[in-house]
Amino acid sequence: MRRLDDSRLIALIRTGGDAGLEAMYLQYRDEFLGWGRRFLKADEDELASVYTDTCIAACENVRSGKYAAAGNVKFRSYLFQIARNKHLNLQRSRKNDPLAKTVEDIFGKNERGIDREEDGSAVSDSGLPDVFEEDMDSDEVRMTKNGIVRDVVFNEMTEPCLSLFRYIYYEHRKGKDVAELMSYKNADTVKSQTARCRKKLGEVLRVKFKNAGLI
Amino acid sequence: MKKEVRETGLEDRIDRYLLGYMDEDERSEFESEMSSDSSLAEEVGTRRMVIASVREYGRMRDRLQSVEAGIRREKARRRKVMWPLISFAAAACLAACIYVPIDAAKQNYMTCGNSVILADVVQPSRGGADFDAIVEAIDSGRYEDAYALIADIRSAPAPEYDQSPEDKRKYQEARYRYEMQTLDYLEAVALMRQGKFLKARRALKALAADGSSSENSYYKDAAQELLDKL
Repeated sequence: MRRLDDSRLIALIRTGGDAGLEAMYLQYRDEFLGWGRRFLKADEDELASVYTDTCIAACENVRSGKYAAAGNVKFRSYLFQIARNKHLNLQRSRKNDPLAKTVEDIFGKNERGIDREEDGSAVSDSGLPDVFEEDMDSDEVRMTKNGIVRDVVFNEMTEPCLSLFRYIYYEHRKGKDVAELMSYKNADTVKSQTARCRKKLGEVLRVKFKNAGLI
Repeated sequence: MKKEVRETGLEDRIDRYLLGYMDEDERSEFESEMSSDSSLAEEVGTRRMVIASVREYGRMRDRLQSVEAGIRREKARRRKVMWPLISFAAAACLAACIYVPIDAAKQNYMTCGNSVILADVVQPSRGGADFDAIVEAIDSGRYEDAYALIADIRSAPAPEYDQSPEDKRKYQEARYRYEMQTLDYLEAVALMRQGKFLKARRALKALAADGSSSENSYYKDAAQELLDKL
C-alpha cells in the first residue's frame, strides 16, 4: 500500500469518507503496534482497540478542524499522542470504581487529551513531542453544539460510558444483554451506570456549551 | 432521592422517545410537553446529537474492526502458505550447507589420491606379500579386489622369526612391519581414490602417527605429505 504524505492523507480523510479513515488505519497500523508493544506495554488486542478509537478520534479532529488548529504538527505524532492518552484513560478507567464520582474519573483528563502533572506541566513519557504544549484557547476553534458533542464523544468519553452508550444507542441491546457483555451484576446495574454516564455527560456538555457561549 | 428518580424517569423518557420505543399516544404527549418546555426541548436536542455521535462512532468502529479482522485473516492465511515454503527452503539450505562441503572434501581426496603414483612409493614385491596385485587392482579401480587382497594378507598369521642371529631377527621384524604399513598405505590411497575421505583421513593419520622415528614408520612422511595437501 502506497504511503500517503500528511497533506494527501488529511485531504483524503476530509473528503474521502470511510476510505480516508481506512487509509489512515492501514498506513500507521503496523508501526503503531510495534510502538505500542514497546511504550504502552499492552497486548495486541488491547492495542488494536486503542488504535481503533485513536483513528476514529483523529478522523473526527481532522474533519472538525481541530487537527489544523493544533498547528504545524506531524500527523503521525498527533495520532500517537492521542493513542497514548486513550491508553492512559483506559488504564485509569479500569482501576476506578465503576460508580465514579467525578467527571475526570469517567472522561479524559482534559479536553485536549494532555496528561498533566500536579503543577500543570505536561507528561510525555513516550518519546513523542507533546504537541499540545500551548494552552489552546477554545475560541480558536468555533464549534457548534453538535461539534462539541461529537468532540466529547469521540475524544473524551472513556469506558465504561463509551461501551454502554454504544450497546444501548447503536446496537439497541437490552439491559440484560449489556450486563452480560460488560460483566455487570444485572440490568439494574446497567441502568444505574448508564444514568451516571448520562448525568456526567450532561454536566460536561453544559460547561462546554457555556464556555463556547452557546448557552 | 425523589429528584434523582424524577430525573432518571425523564432521562429514560427522552431515550424512549428518541429510540422510538414510545407508542403514538405517549409520543404525542411528550412532544406536547417539549413544545411548552424549552429546556426539555433543548435536552432532547442535545441527547439527539449524542445518540447520533455514538452511532457514528459505533459505525466507524465496526468498519475498522472489519478491516482489522481482514488483516489478521490475511496474515493467518499467509502463515499457512509461507511456513511450509520457509521450512522447505530452510531444509534445502541446510542440506546444501552440509552437502556442498562434503562433496568438496570428497573431490579433494579423490584428486589427491589419484595423484599418488603407487609404483613410486611402494616397493615392488620381492617375495613376501604380493603388493603388485594390490597396486594393480587399485590403479585399475578394482577397489573391492584390492581390499580383499589386503584383508587376506592381514589375516595371515605373523611369521615366526628366527631368534638368531639378532640381526636376522631384526630384519624379519622390520620387514613384517614394513609389509603391514604398506598395506595400510595402499588401503588409505584406495579409500582416497574412492572419495571415502573420513576413512582415508583416519588411515593417513594413523600412518602419520605410527612409530616414534622414521626408522619404524616407513610411510609417516608420505602420509603426512598427503594430509598437508588435504
